[in-house]
Amino acid sequence: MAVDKYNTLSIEALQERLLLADEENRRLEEKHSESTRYIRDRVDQLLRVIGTIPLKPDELDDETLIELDPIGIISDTFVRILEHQKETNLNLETAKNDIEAIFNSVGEGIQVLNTRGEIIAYNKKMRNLFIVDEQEVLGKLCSETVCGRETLAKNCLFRMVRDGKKSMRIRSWQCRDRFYEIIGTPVFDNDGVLQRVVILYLDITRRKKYEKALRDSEDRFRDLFENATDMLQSIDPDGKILLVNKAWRETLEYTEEEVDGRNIFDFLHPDFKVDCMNNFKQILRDGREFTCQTVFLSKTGKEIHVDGRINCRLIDGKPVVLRSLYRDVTEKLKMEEELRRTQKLESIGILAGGIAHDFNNLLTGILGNILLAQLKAPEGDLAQLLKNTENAAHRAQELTRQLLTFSKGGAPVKETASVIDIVKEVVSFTLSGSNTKWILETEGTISPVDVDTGQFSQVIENLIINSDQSMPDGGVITIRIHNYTRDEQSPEPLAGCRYVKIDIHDQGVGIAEKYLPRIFDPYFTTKKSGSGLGLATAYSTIRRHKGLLTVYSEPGQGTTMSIYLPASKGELPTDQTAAPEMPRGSGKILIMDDDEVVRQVGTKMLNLLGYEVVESRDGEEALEKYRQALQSRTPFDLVILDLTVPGGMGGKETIAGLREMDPEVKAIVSSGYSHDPIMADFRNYGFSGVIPKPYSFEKLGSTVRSLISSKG
Amino acid sequence: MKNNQPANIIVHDIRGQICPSCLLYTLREINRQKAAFKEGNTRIIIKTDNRDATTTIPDAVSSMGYECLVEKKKGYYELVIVPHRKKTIH
Repeated sequence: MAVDKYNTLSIEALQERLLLADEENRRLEEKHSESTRYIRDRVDQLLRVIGTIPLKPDELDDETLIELDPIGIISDTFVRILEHQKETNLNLETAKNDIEAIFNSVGEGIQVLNTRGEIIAYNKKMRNLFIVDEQEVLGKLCSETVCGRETLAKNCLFRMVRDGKKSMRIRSWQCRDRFYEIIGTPVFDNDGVLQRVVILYLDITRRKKYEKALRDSEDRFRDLFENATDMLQSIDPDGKILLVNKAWRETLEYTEEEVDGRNIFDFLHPDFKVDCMNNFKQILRDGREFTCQTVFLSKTGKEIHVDGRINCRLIDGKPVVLRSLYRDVTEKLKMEEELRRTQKLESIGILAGGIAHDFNNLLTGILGNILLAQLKAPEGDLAQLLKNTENAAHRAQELTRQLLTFSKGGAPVKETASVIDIVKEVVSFTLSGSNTKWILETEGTISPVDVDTGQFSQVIENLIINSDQSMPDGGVITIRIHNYTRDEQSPEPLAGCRYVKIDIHDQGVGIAEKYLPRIFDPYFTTKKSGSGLGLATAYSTIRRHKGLLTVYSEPGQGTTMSIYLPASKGELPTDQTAAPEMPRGSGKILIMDDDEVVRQVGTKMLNLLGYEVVESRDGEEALEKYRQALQSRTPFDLVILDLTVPGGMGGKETIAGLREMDPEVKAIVSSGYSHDPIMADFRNYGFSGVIPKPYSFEKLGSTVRSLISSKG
Repeated sequence: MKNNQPANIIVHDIRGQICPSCLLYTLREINRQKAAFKEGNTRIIIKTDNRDATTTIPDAVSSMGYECLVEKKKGYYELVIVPHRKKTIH
């Protein structure tokens, strides 16, 4: 037993053993302490490795430290950290592979540059786009490899990103005939220092081409839409205007801004809104195209009549846009109306012409018989009564002339006349009863002119009426007549040399400049009650006389109308007021007229003038009698033919037959239709002279005598 | 229907302890729950009143691939340790 064993030891031996034991214990404690310190140091070292603070002895005593086993804990922790790092590395490797795959498979060029602009990475597309000949460009400057000398430094995206330190984009960048959109992105390290610049090149050449094609197409369609001569509009189902073209705006006198956002019904004539609304609803219901006639109101209140065609754009069966095409028919309707009026006037004119013809035949009988009666009763009360009857017959003749002028038919039947006489007569007659005064100024001896006095009088009358109406409170019309020789400043249409010029100047309101180019247009008028034919007729009448009508006007300064008429080479007929002369002669005359009274009067007048006369009722009879006379070698010296024979051969056909029989035949055409074109152009039809009905002794005698005495 | 709430919540109240014992204690607990964390349905909540722990624990935990959310409570901090959420490319 141990006790026995120790009991046998001496005190000294026991003390020695105790000392040894103490010593051993002390050594063991030191060793323990040393081990614990070692563990604590190592734990602190490991804690520092994982980035935390060291152990504090007062907080964790040695015993607790051993019990806690921090090395075990940290060791396990390291295992976990290493596992985590391994996972992270794997993930990074995968991510790198992903990025490489994306980098190379993306359909756009990408390159990575360092801060010196040297290429440190690029993808396949980048090589295809910019790098030639398989050369290795890593480490080379981007500016040399990609841009070459084509891009200026100021347009270098790399520099812009490097200096601006932010993402930047150039929307259209051209390099070697191709267009790119380029995007530069800076890459910074954890301290915010720029390390790389990634540049992405999007090839937009095809897009640019498409954009240009689209723009061109858009331009073409816009040009077609904007410059269409018809009015085009597009509106939504609520009637709000989406689009209108130039013709629409100009016709209705609105600007784009004034139309923007407005409703179509704002522009319609109030009387047509209900109809249009019904049409509008109808097309929205069934979507079918329809045509319509409606009226718009322009900005200045003008009524614009249109013919329209409207259809509807449907999406999923629902109407989204109503498209309309309108044609402005305002002028056309006006023209049609004027045409109806003109046709009506023409009908009246034909009627008037017919009346005048018959009336002239009657007058020929009346006046001829009066003249014959006057020869038998040269003095006394009966002579005075006959004179009065003759004056009345002349007034009736004047009425007939006016009727023919109204009918406005045919070319002018010109005669040499004095402009001054006609102007005086017409102006004094036109202004009688007016508060307008007139002054006539002439310069030197005015040349005579060849005019149709009826038509020319009508022109003067129209111009004087216009001047008078331009001065509602009265004023003065100054008429200046002078000879005019064409020079370099003359109006172009004047082709001749010598003219007589008549200036008619009023003190009226004048004509606005914008109307001047149109005042001679048919149907153009600024007067509410005007037909728009007065100045147009005047112009055409003067042009038919180979003259010209011009206008000069300034608002507030009055208007001057100038007539140029070719000066006549002929002489004025002898003064009509002189005592009547009996131009006698001799010869054999065949007179053809369907009117018995005219035949008898003509025969008696010619007998009195010294001629032998044979009568015929129509062309056939005249031809027969002319043939017989030729055969019996007692030919006629002259034939007087009526132009119109109802139901029989008239003058035109008869002269053709006579010429066939006798090319040397001398014939006078005579008609109550003094405006018939044959009367004006008688020579072209084979006649040698013309005598309008009714006859006067002087006219009949002088015409017949001059023709019989002429050769050929 | 997927429940985003972890099935297993382990709460440790180590208030009164200071770092690094807080850290060692937390690491020991994480290591013990390694398998459960891997499955993704465990979260550990540490309650501590030692301010240093709010730095040391998240740093260490982050290195291990976990995520630590720190929330200040009345008189202490609550550290919620969850498995790290994998990032995806959007």
